[in-house]
Parts: sequence; C-alpha cells; structure tokens
Amino acid sequence: MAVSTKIIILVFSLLALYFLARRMDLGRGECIRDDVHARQIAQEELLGFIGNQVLIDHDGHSALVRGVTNDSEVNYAYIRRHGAHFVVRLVNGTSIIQGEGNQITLRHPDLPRGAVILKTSDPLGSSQAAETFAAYFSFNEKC
Amino acid sequence: MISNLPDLVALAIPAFVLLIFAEMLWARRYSPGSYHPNDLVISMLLGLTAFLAGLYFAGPVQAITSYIAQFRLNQLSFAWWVWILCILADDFLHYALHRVSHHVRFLWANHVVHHSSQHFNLVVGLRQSASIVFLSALIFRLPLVLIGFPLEMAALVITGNQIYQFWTHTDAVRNCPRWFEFVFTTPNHHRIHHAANPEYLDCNYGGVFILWDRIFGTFQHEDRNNPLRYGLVQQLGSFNLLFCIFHEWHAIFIDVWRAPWRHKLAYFFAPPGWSHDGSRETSDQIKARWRSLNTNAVQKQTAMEGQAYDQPSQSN
Repeated sequence: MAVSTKIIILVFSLLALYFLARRMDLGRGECIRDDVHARQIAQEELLGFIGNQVLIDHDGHSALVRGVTNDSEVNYAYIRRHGAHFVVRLVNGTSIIQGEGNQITLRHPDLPRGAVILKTSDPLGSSQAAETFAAYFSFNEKC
Repeated sequence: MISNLPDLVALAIPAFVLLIFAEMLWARRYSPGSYHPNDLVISMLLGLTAFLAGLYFAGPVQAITSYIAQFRLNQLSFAWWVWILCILADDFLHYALHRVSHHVRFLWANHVVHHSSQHFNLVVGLRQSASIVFLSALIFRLPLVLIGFPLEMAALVITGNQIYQFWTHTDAVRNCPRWFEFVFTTPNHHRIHHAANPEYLDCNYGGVFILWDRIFGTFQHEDRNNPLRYGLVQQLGSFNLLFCIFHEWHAIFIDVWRAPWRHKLAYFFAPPGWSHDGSRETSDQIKARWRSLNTNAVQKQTAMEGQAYDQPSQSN
C-alpha cells in the first residue's frame, strides 16, 4: 500500500471517528455538584491537601477550594473541568484574589493565561467569599 | 531486502480503526467518560505524526543499522528458536527504554506525550511522540543487530511488539486467563502504568511480557477498591497539539535558563520532578510521601480505636 494511501486512510479514519464520538455524545463529564464534590476532587488530585472553604463557579465548571497541605500551609486548589475530567492546580501564597460584583479573579503564574475568573450566581455571597478568601490569604502572607 | 517484508502496519490500520469503533460502542453504553472527541483527535494526530516520523526516519535508520550490522557478533539464522530469542530480546530492550524514559527527563519529555491524556482507551495506544520513534528504532534496538539477529527479523519483531501494545490500552477488557496475565502484559497491567495515583507511579513497564516487571521488581497489582486517575501528576489540561508535544521541553528549557550553572545539566538527566532547590517532587518522593501519609492515617485510626476501646473501662 502506498504511503499516500495510508495517510489518506488515517486522516479519513480520524475524521470519521471524531464525528462518531460527537454523535455518540461521548466525553460528557459531570459538573462540580457541590462543596463536598469540589473538596473530593481537590483531595484526590493533590496529595496531602485537605479542603475547607469552597467557591463554585455558576456553571459548575470550575471551583476554588481553600485548604491546607500536609505541611500545614494554607493553599488554594483551582479546579477546572477539562473534557470529561477535571484539572486541579495548587496555587500558593503568590496568588492574588480580587472580588468584584458577582465575580472573583484569581491571578497566579501557573494558571491558564495567568488568571481565572469565577462567577457566582449570588453577588453578595461572592464578595463575602472573596473577602473571606482574601482574609485567609493575607493571614497566610503574614505568617 | 527489508522492503520485501510484509507491511504489518498497513494490515493493522483497518483492524485498529474497527477496534476503536467497537470500543466507542462499549464506552457509549458503559463508560461515556472514557472517550472525548477532542482528546481522540489529539491522540490520532499524534499517532499520525509518529507514523510520518517513522517514514521520514526509515531511510536513515535502515542505513545506520545496515552499517552497524557489519560489526555483529554472530550471524543468526531464521530458525524458530531465533525468532523466540529475538522477541524476548526486543521486548527486554523495550522494557529498558520504557523504564529509563520514566526516569531521565529529556527522555520523559518525549514519552510524556503518550501519558498526557486523562483518558485510557485504544486511541491512547496510538498517541506517540515522533521523536521516540527515532530513539526506539535506533538507539535501543541496535543491540538486536549487534547480537546478530537478521535485520528483517528484527524489523518484523519490533513492529509486532508495537502492534501488540495497542490492545493493552483499554478499559473494556477486565478479565484475562490467569496464566496469560502472569506472562503477558494485558490491559489490567497497563492501565495501572497510565494511572497518576501516587501508589501506581512508575510500574508495569512491560510491552509484550509483564515478566520483566516481575523479575526486576516494578510489577504492581491493581487495587479495584481504589479508582484509577489517568494522566500525569500535574495534568496537562489542554487539547492543543503543539502544547502537548512541546510542553515538557518548554519546561526543561525554562528550568535550565533559571538554574545555576552547576545544576543546568541535571535538568536534562535527573528524574522528572527533580529540582535543585527541592521545590518539586520526583515520583519516588511522591510515593514516599503517600506512604508516610498513609502510615500516619493508620496510626491515628489505631490510636482512636484504642481510645474508644479504653473509654468504657475508664468509666467503670
């Protein structure tokens, strides 16, 4: 079989399988259901991390979990849905959290494009939560 | 001579596509999360680039192996026992390359592509780095030629080994005969190899034979009560093909750029996760921390159970 024929077959197979996977609705993952679920995801992905406070984005695709690692340092786990699974990033004391209206912005060099925004459905809750998170954050910095 | 060999890859491609489709039908019913269309495309594109790299390097690899063949120690025949020896030798070399690829960072930068999917399905079996094709075809397979295996035999066995490994990338197969599981690598072994759970890091490297892991102490059983999380310790979180191929190389170059001069080379040759200031963890250190956390948890549990047991006697 000629090389070009093989390549054409491979590309055709790729496209066919991709459209079949979409048609079959494969890869549908779950959203972050609640605080317990968010903590569970963070603790499974980050060894020694114990989650405490949780902020979940309004669509359930991302969340921020405040917790401690096994060296008792306060850290944040940023959870993001990726395909049918979740990606978790541990963001430490160099992160900046800002709350405004119904959204919270977290800035850290390890995050995608350096910052993520979480929008909550409750504006007041969001700003309160941001203040709480920021308070813990500054407390951690003083330590 | 080598051009007259049967084209095993051409024969395998239709079978691969049909098996992937069959697995997708299984996934639709039992495990929709085990496939994702974007991940499928990335894996197949990586497979395609590896295939093209194989074609591109075929000429130079053949020229170098033919040259090296002049210095071979023996001239082995095509007898049946030579075939068996060649299959064993090739798979042992695969085990060695695979194990080293998990412990030397510049090799890991090639191999990480294969592990970067958070899914575990047959398409992940095709997800290979183009550069590892060259490395595995040349550096680690030259000993086969030097030992004296015929070039045609070595080429067929190497391709056969790669084709065998395709089926070990599936969650759909859970049970194989015990004797088969003892000797050969099966999906039950290889899914553990793809797991990012701390207890399963760096184990079950075998390609065709799991015996190498049993012999060299890298074998690990699956604990079915402990769900597997596939992918990397720090998940990639991207469906970008270029990022997938180059992210570890990019990370290496940043590390080398920032490191003091005396540590620069170590970022190429030390295990993944090593850092000169100890700010990161290698897989061995992660495993050690996991063991220590587990031990502490067990000790706490035992102490609590002891207190609960002592409580009634104190009240008496």
